[in-house]
Amino acid sequence: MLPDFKVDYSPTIEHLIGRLLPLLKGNYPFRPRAVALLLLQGDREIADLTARQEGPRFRQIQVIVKQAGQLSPPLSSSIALARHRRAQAITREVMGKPSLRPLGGLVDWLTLWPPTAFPILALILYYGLCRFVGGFGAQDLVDFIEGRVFQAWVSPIARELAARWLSPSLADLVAGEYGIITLGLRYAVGVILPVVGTFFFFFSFLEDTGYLPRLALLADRACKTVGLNGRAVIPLTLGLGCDTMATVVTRTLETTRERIIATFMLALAVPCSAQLGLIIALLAQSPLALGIWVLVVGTIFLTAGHLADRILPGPKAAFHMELPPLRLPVMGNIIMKTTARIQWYLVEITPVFLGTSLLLWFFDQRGFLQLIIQALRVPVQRLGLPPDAAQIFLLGFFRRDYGAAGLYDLRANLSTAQLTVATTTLTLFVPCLAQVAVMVKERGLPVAVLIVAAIIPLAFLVGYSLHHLLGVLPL
Amino acid sequence: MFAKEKKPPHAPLTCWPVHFRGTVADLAAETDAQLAKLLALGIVPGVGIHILRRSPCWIIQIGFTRLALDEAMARTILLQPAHPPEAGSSDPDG
Repeated sequence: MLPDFKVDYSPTIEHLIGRLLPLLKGNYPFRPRAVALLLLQGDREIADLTARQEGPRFRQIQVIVKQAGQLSPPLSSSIALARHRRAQAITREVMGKPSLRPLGGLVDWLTLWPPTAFPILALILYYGLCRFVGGFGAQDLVDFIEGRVFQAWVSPIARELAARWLSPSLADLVAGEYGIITLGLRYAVGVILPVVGTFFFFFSFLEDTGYLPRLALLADRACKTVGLNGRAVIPLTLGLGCDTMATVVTRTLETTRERIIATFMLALAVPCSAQLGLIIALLAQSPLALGIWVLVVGTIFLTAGHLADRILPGPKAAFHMELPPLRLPVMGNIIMKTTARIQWYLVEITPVFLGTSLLLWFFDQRGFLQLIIQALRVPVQRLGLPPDAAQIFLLGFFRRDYGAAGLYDLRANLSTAQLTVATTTLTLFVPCLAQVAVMVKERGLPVAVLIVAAIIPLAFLVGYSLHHLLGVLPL
Repeated sequence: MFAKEKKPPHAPLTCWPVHFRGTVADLAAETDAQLAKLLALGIVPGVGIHILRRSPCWIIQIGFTRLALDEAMARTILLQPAHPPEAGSSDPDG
């Protein structure tokens, strides 16, 4: 038999519940007593439902709820306290007296003591992000799926079938330069999937070891400087995998203010793995150039975040997180979680990539792409770059890494200083089209437009300043 | 907010040293949302709290739960020393 879980509240609360019960005659998904308790705690959703269900009786209900709202201590606290006491009593019956345990285990302690915690954090991020996601995922797996499977099999077959069965314009839509299969699907499955798949695996591993909350608490102070709190480290780190996906994940942040700041930071100064890999490859020949890129992007990240924190109204979000004990993860669970997340990713993000290639195809058909490239030539020349680089910036908008990849082809004609300016500007420059689409979906059109409008001039201004600054440096 | 009868002196959690064991005397939350958050975390007047660390964040133990809190949130929790019979217990009624 199920034990009785009824919680006894104070006489005042029981009296208020007693007055509400005869007025609740509608159909509710749960018992009237629960509805009465939610009403007394000021639950808006249940108030709306009651208004619809009870009609004229709702006015009387409102009077009682208003009286309850004037009680001191607040009713929600008294209810929470009564429930807590009941939970304690049940715990005592089934578990005996709870004991307060000190921080257990040396490893646990080492991951929290700052002098060892930060080096451990750096090692985990290096091996997890750089070696596993960046090396194995973004290079080995992408080379295999994109290079061997798509370039060698899927795309040529799609091209041949499309040419045989479809009109030239439709064939272009399916298997042309910006085709749904040859660009959209290839990009989603061949480039992004291996990267986010390995990233999800690493992320689930961290989650199951109980390390993730430690990462958040170690990053809390740094995140506070840009108006966020430790929780934001999750979407920001995810952004190093795929900014589009990370923008979706900003949903987990508590306030709209935090979500806007995180979306802005992701769009401005968090390069995705595809872009990061190419930028590192481009600048690898000159450690000084790579250092300048890190310094400039890092400074912009901190400054822009700090400014966004100052400009946006609203209170700063407080940080709190439960800290589970560290434990050895179970591989089966990690694989299950990774698979579920990949499924979610495919359902949520793939349509965006397919839609992007559809839009690109349309622009290409109408000759808009050439027009935009022409318009971009002037600002690009101001950055000290050849006019050909305009195309790279446009492609960078449609696909961040595509821009960097275009730069890779041009690198023989560029000096190290020009490469530094171009990579820095491209990193800051507008996120890819898929990310903009998700920004509109998650934050709404006005916010997305404002973010993009802030980023374009900022990216070019930084690039312009860097071009002049590097002119006096022996690079 | 909760305190009515006379109680031993209490101070914000941030004023007590690491390893201190106390009970929650009151909550000084500024907004309803903040109060709701504390209550949802199980931080209610009368529960026992053990302070485990103060850097890089405040880390406290409540019953079987370990929580990390930032300075602003920790400051809203007012603690008083736990009475000897209550030490080690998170039950408000002893």
